[in-house]
Amino acid sequence: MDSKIYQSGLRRITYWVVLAALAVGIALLPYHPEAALFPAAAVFGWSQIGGL
Amino acid sequence: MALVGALTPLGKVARNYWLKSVIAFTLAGCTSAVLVGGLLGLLGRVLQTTVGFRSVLSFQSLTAVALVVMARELGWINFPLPEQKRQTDKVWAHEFGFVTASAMWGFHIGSGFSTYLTNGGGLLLVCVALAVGKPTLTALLMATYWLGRATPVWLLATIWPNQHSTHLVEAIAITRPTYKHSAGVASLWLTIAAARCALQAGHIWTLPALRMIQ
Repeated sequence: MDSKIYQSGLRRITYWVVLAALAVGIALLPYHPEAALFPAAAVFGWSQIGGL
Repeated sequence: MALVGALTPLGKVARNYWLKSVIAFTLAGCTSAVLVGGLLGLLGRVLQTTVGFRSVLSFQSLTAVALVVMARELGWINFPLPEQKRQTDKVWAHEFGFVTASAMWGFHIGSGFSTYLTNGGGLLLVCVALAVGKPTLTALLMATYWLGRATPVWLLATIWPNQHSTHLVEAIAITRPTYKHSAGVASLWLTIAAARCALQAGHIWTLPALRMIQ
């Protein structure tokens, strides 16, 4: 498997992670605004995948 | 890169060994994340009760910081993050074995700020901890941040069990803008959530400096 297949897979997974986090956040926001901070934290963590 | 390059190749040669290592990595990281998050929350509470820190770093200020981080991650502005310019110690694997080293790597990286940062999200969470001043909430927030960091180690070895690790690491480096943009979207979301928190807490929407005068 070459790098391009991984690139496409990684992008797709990341989009799903962000969409899922936003969906959870939007569901929580009206009732538990502090809990709505958690999806952002999860996405920040996931986004560290590009780090060293 | 959250040890994706170090831990995922192990999954295809020694599945049980990989599983033990990744569990140790995740649990140890969770422990240090909870400790750091709890301490930051405690610091926030102390600052708020002793020096009225809430007036200075309230939810309104938090939304402003979150917008700056969003602009950075979306590439609109550029500034260096205060970070430790180092990776965790790879030599631990030779000295202590892979499972123990994984736990040590997890504990080291899980503290959040001991290695390179690729986005300002972690620092934004520090601001959240200081603004909220609730140790339990911030401990859980930092644990969530850590679980987000540890997820690729679990996921990538599971969906690509026979992956070519060099190509995978290369693909992660090439897709880096995608992760930065994701962090930008998360910062925007954090701005909205912080604003909602401020409204719920009954904070009026004035500049923090004006609130100090009032």
